[in-house]
Amino acid sequence: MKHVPKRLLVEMTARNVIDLDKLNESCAHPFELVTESNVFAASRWTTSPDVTAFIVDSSVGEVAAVELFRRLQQDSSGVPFVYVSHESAVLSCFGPLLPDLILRSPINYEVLLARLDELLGSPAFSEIMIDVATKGIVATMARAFIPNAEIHALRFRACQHPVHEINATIPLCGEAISGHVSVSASPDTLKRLYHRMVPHRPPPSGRMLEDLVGEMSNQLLGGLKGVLTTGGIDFALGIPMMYTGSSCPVRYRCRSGSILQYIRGSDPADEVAVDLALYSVRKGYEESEATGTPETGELAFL
Amino acid sequence: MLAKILVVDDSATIRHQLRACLESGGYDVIEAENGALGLERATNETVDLIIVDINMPVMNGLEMLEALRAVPRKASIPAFILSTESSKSMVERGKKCGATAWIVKPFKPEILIKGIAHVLAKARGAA
Repeated sequence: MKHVPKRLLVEMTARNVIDLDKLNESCAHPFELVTESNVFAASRWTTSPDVTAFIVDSSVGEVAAVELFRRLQQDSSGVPFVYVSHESAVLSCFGPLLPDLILRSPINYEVLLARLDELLGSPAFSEIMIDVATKGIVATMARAFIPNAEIHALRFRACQHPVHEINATIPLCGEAISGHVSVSASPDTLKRLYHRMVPHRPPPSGRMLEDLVGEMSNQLLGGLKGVLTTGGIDFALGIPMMYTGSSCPVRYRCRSGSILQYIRGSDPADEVAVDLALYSVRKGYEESEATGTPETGELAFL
Repeated sequence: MLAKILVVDDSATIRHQLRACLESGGYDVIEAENGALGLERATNETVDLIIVDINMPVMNGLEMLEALRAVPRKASIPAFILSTESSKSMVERGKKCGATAWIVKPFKPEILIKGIAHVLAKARGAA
């Protein structure tokens, strides 16, 4: 799993102030660039889980740029916002709001990339960590909830908000690592999964669906713990917190970035979004021999 | 009379899954949603075996087992830990608290049923 795309939304006019090719070539991270030419079009992305950062050029209009930033703060506070200005008195137009970076045109790409690296480049997500973590999560999903589960898409993002309607977040904390796993799915998907797990029970209530997504987060984190323990990284699991609806009061934010996996089974409608955010990683993953811990699903007499 | 199994897990999904699995295996099932309620049921009712999760609100599974082992006549009820926890230190703690066996979630129904049958037969033989 070498390529974890990050998506930058670049809002600019046809004057093409930002040299996208230059940005793409120079950046340490593999970026996908999405461009929009006006604030109205860019506004669609403020709630998207797939945008890692916004770069906005002042040529779209100062007022419009400030309005977009305000909206982004409201919808997805924490997503980096970089403002490229052609004016000298930049700060005054943002009032109390402060973008993550304000650049004067012509852009100093070195500064832009260094700041983007700082904002997005998470040391938590080394290639081996991404590989091990995503495999551990998908394997548990396939064993417990979605037969033939596979990663349909993988995104890196700087800030999180729920992807689907029913969500659960469970914290992880240890000497070497801390973060959280958030899982979300639609009610229809959860109803199908529940029915497959316990076919003879009556259809699940909304509360049961929350319970299912909570248990899913618990088992996925357990699966992750299983694989990370073999690499010398241990942690304690918390208790999941569940919530329903797009206007849920809980937004799980972090500046360290997260890996969002869209996991699907044979039926594409069975999609579950799993978001792994690591706040700190103080030890690298070092593969070792078997640890003598019980195997998943097997019975170990004590 | 059917052997009675107490399932203690804060997740209703897991309790439903276990109930379906255990009832199809010919067992009577009672439930509790945290360690404190599990302790109450195990203390006040006749229970042949306990399946208990670890991470639960109010009282966790290890605390529940520790407390149960201190109750006269309840100290020897077989207890299976069914948890996402799998670390060596946690398993050691489980052993100290008197757990009989450990299963890392997700469980395999046929393995669970076989294990229960084995432990209950052994307990009956010893009685």
